[in-house]
Amino acid sequence: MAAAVTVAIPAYNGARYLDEVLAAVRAQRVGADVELLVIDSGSTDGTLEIAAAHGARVHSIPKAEFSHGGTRNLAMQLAEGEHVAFLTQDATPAHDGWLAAMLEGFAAAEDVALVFGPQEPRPDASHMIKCEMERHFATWGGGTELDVQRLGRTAQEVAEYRRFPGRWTFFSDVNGCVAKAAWREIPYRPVAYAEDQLLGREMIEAGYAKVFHPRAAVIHSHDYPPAQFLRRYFDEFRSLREVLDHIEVAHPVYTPLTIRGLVGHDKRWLQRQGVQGRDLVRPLAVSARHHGIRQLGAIVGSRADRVPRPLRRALSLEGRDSFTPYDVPESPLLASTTQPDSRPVRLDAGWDYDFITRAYPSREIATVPHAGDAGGPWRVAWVVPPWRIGSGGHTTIFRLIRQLELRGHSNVIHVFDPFGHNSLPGSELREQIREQFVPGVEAEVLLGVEDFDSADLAMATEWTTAFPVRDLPNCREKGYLVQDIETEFFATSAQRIWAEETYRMGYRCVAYTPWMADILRDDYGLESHWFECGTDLDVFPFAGEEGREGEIIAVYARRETPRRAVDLAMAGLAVLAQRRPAIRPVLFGSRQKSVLPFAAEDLGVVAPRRLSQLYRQASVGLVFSLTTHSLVAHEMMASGLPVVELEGDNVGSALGASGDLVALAEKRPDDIADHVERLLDDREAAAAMARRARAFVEERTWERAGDQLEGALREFLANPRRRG
Amino acid sequence: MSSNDWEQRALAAEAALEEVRAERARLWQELQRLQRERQEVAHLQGVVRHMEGSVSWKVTEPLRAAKTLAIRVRRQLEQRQG
Repeated sequence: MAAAVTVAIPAYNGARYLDEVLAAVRAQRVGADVELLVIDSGSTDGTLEIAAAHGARVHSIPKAEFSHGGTRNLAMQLAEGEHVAFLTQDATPAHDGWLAAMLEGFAAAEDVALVFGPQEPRPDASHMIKCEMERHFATWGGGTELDVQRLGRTAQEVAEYRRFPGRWTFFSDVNGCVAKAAWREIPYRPVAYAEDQLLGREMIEAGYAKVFHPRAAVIHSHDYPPAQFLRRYFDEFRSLREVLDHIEVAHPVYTPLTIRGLVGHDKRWLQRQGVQGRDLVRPLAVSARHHGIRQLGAIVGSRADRVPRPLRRALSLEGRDSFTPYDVPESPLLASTTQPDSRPVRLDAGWDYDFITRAYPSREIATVPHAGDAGGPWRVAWVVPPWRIGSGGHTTIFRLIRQLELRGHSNVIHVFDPFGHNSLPGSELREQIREQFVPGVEAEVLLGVEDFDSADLAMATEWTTAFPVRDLPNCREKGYLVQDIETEFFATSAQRIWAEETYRMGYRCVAYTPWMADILRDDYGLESHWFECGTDLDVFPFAGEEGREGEIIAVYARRETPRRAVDLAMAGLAVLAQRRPAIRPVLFGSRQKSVLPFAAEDLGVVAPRRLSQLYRQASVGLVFSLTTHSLVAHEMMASGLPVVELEGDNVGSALGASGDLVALAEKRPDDIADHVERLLDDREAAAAMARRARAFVEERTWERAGDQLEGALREFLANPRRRG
Repeated sequence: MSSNDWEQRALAAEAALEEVRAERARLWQELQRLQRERQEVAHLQGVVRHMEGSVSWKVTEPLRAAKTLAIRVRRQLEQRQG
């Protein structure tokens, strides 16, 4: 009957350990027939007799025909077993379950091509070797758990493989088992050395799995005098260069640090063995010498192509003077290009729009059923995008949160940051809110939504946040605070589609201004409540006509937001400047520089108190809104500064269409110039308008906004969402 | 049982419910604080890892080791003198 498994050992004058090795193989307890195959390449020390005594099938080849890859291919051909476990002549199975563990590794998955196990050092091995082997095999399953390695297909997995391929490719035929079916497809290659590393790499890159089994252990280690270690490492790293193209780093800083790190590992290992204090000095000096030699061997070996042939022979422990790189075929799984003239594309799993990928197929807004109990205090989770200091939208959100806090409700702020804009921890962001936006806010700030637990209400505040909020678990109700029609922020684009998608998710909305609420209700069929913002009357106190300088015009020129129609404002001012060359527009709100055909000044982005000063000094304020009207208009109105806005439902519905509170210009440069000029010329009418505007703003407090928001949220909780 | 009793009991139940709600909100806030602190710990661990992994930290390690040794030697000398 054919054997199910073959144990194959290439041998050459291996009498020293062979008897021990073969006896240990024969002692294996495994539920399959075992064939013992020895390929001898001209031993003269009794190896053949030992092999025969253990009943091994011996196949002899001339010494000149031996090669690491070629001889193992021969063993694979001769083997009767479908699995061939390779040992070297000095690697002794550590116990009688070694072979059973090897075979168990193949049962871990259907596509396993290779199984390997740990190598335990012989008792007389040096502490450096013991430490190195322990650390090395802890790479897989911590050295104690079965570990399956397979090349992943995701960008992140491929990037990780490229960064540290050894974690996947390492295979050693000192103690490794090969599935014949896989070997028929990918045999050992005819390389001088490191044939096992190459096999491991090729198998993994072909899509096979490889298994580390912690119980498939052998006892095996080499110790050499320092000079021989140098030559051994030269051979090893020359081969790694030949088959894996590995080049060891040689750097005046990094190389000593590597040696220092390796000595540090030895130190900790020795300390774990109970070596302390002065007893460490001598072994660590030996470690330093060993690792210095190791790095030297590695650096020179992996650059063997630059070493003269005679020196190569002298440096090689096996006396080989060649350098023959092996051209490993490109794995189709790793192929990064199909077009020879293409540019590389960086692989990164942390793609900006990953949250969109995960958001589909579209799902219903997730809420838990509830009875409509609106009793407080509520637990409200706000999901907000990252902010820049001065962000008006965030100021409004934080003010509303503060209003809820003052009414006894608990809040938490989750910062959803798919584009990686924020680098601060939650505690610093919280301080920023309290110091730069709204003093007194108590809500904790958490990064991301991964730590979200539960809430009575979860609130989205911007289009990107609507996607994660939709899927948050354990929420009684969910809402969407809509401050502007965000689809209008984008030209025809993917972002526009996604932003609009958030209005089709079926959120219950709280919109800034009745106008915005009407759009959400009429265009998207959403339940929609509204609130109106307050103004900081302390920061923007009223000032009458005294102190205003005739020709100063305060202009909100935030170029970063196209909906502020800055160029239209500039066109209007250009027309006006032709009529009245003395006008002095003072621009603010933008970090971008302006080039204009008339004399102007630019404050850039400045603090509210500086703006307040400007509003009390200027004669007219210019602020344009193509979507929801700007709070800057409210602040100017609070300061007694007559305002010119653009006419339209967005502004008219909020600030009155009659022009009693603000002057409403058509979207034409000449009409804008007319309106500004009229206010400059008729100061009495302008002052009357400013007084009416101040009274209007005084009515719209943040307390009122808080009441409006609380009312809307109470409505949500008292009337549970109808489930589809 | 009089209608007054029912009213009393209803008021007591409502007060108890309010207490429970307030306690739930307090515990929830406490949970958010713990979550934030946990994130903080992870953030600081990352900062330390980054710092200790930097070349400048490794290069200057002998200086720190020398300083520690100097302090130890000075203490021992002070103990002997003291």
